[in-house]
Amino acid sequence: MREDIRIVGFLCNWCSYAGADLAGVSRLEYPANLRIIRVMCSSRVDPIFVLKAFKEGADGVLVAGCRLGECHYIEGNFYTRRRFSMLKRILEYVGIEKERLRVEWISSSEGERFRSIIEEMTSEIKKLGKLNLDKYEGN
Amino acid sequence: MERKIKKEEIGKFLRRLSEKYEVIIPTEFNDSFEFRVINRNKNEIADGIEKFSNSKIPPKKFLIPESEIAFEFSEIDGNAIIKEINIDKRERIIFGIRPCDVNAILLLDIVKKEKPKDLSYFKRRERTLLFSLECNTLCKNSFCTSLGTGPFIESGADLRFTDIGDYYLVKALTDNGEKFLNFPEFENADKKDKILRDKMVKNIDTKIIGHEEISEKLEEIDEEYWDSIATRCIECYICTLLCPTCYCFNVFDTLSVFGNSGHRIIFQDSCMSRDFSRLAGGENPRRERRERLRNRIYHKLKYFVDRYGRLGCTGCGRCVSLCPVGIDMREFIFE
Amino acid sequence: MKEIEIENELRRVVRRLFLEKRIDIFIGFEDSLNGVRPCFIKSVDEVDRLVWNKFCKNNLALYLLRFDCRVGIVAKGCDEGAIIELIKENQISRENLYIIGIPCNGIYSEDNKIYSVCKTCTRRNPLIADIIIGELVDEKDMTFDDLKEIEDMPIKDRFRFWIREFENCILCYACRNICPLCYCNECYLDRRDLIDLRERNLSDKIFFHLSRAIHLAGRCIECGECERACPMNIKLGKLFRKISKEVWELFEYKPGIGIEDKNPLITFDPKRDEEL
Repeated sequence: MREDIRIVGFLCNWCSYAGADLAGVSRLEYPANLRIIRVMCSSRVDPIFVLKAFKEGADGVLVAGCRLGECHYIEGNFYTRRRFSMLKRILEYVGIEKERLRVEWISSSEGERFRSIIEEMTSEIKKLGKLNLDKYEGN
Repeated sequence: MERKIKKEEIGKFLRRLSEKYEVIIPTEFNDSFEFRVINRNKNEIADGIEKFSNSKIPPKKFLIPESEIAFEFSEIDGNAIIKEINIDKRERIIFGIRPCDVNAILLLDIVKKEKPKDLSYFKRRERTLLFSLECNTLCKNSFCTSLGTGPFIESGADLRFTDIGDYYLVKALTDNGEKFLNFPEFENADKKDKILRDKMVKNIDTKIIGHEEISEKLEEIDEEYWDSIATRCIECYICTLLCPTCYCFNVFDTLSVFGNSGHRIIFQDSCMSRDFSRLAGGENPRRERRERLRNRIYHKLKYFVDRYGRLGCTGCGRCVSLCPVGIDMREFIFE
Repeated sequence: MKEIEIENELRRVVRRLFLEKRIDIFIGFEDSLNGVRPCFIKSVDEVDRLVWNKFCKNNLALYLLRFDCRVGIVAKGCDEGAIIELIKENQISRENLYIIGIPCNGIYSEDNKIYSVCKTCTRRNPLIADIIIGELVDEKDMTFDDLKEIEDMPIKDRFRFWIREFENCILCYACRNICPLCYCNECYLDRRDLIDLRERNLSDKIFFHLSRAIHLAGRCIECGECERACPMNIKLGKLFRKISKEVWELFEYKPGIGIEDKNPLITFDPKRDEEL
């Protein structure tokens, strides 16, 4: 049984991924629970990717894109926002805490912010505990 | 030997059995009954069994699980090592199984005995005792009376329970069942009780249709009729997954990340699925919905008769009641 | 108008349509041993098979995609909603379609109980029908009070509730296949890397239902077919109504009403979305 929580991060190529890169280059330390998947735009992330991540054992999912209005593809992240606000509500309705799915807008110059978001998210999810959809214990 | 047991005593009897056996009884759940392993800590054993008509999921699930690991394999120093999986060792008793489902299990026995014999099936089957409960009322949409598979049973089960008012009349149909009749909960049955059952048997009018007749008539169905039914079909897997005689499966090997070990899974499949008959390269002999539907009906009503001399349908009526678009097995049998 | 009058009128209209050669096939309901079921009328002689009563539960819009000719269809409010959504998504064309709309007072199960989705239906009258048979009925106000019971549970109880529901799922795909709006030829749910039929894990079942829910957000017309088709009585209606509720509360949009309306999830409005 794995001990640590796992967070899957879908980062947009143009801003958030560069932001994560900046955090790395500036030698900022952040929890190693994050597994990053680079996508070309946050709107490339189908809600099904997120559900699949949860299904395969992720305890939290981060979807990060450019700041609103700064999307490389002009309007991609506006779609992302609508889509994931919907998904968050559905997840909450079936009893998966909404903190487990986080949508953030991180620009490429915000290495420090990227770090603080990851730290915050990790500690929040640690508090919630692991999400195990395969085996449900309890009555 | 025939004996009887008071209805109130049934719970006590089952609890006593569960000390040594894994006892499976129909338990009420979401307005319907499903077969479940007895929870010995709970007191409400066999409560409400009067209301039980039949479960949606047939009891075959205890003989053919949805999916099981056949064996594990690994490679050590160039040698293949196969590790068999042990199947649950406890003996099982399925109490309350209806005559139609007993007949279904007898059919499965015939099929699984064919070469290559299904070993894991028989490992389970040999450890399973069937305590059948005969039906006082016919289920809606069932047609067992026309196929001779119910509502009464003369062989196949180990013990036969018949509801005769305050008592269950119990008869052992096999030697295995005989030994349970010595349990202290049983009383001797007198002639009156037997007459009660005989009366019930007489009251049900059975009009058994010959197997050959059904399978011959099936071939007279014209294309247009198949077309109209297939247009309605939504190709879900309800009829096959919940059929007590369906046994189609698929086999799959799963490898570990390193590629040197893995396991083989056998899992239930459905012939209504488009992928079921698809071959490597994409060719599919049953590409159309109509062909798949016809295959299902033919398999039940014709291929079974040709091969084993019996119908592959026991008339439990599950596929009829649960089909969301009203595809009706009875139409193929009676019309 | 009584049911029997509606039925007679329906037969009369369909007969005329066939005689005037305006349709090649008509989709309606017929009687069978096991209740009412969909049927396909191909010629004028078969018209007498048609029935209409409060047990006509199926959503016939599902079958429109199976015909490539001029089709006539009898439609309740929810059937029509599905037709509108299908037209919007360019799956069928309005020109080839003759809709006979019948105002609906709710559909009943065989034991004469009204289906739960019908209790909260706000789409009872035909909107785009070519002809309407029967008197229009009063529309109810939109309410989502039936979801309160689940929404008010503590989050842990809610999780337990849904796990209890989903663990009964047998992955029979009936809910997907009966859905009039699940028309994709290649569905992601048939991909075995996403839904593993081998082990039938609980997580697969949860994934199945949640991903279907998010796919139908802004499209689900609450006909309740998934719940009716489910052999294990999973309360899918409660899941899909929640989605309709969120779409309504966030975007004030209800699918299946206007042909020109756009699904809010394929568009955006920066000003309005700020609170999301």
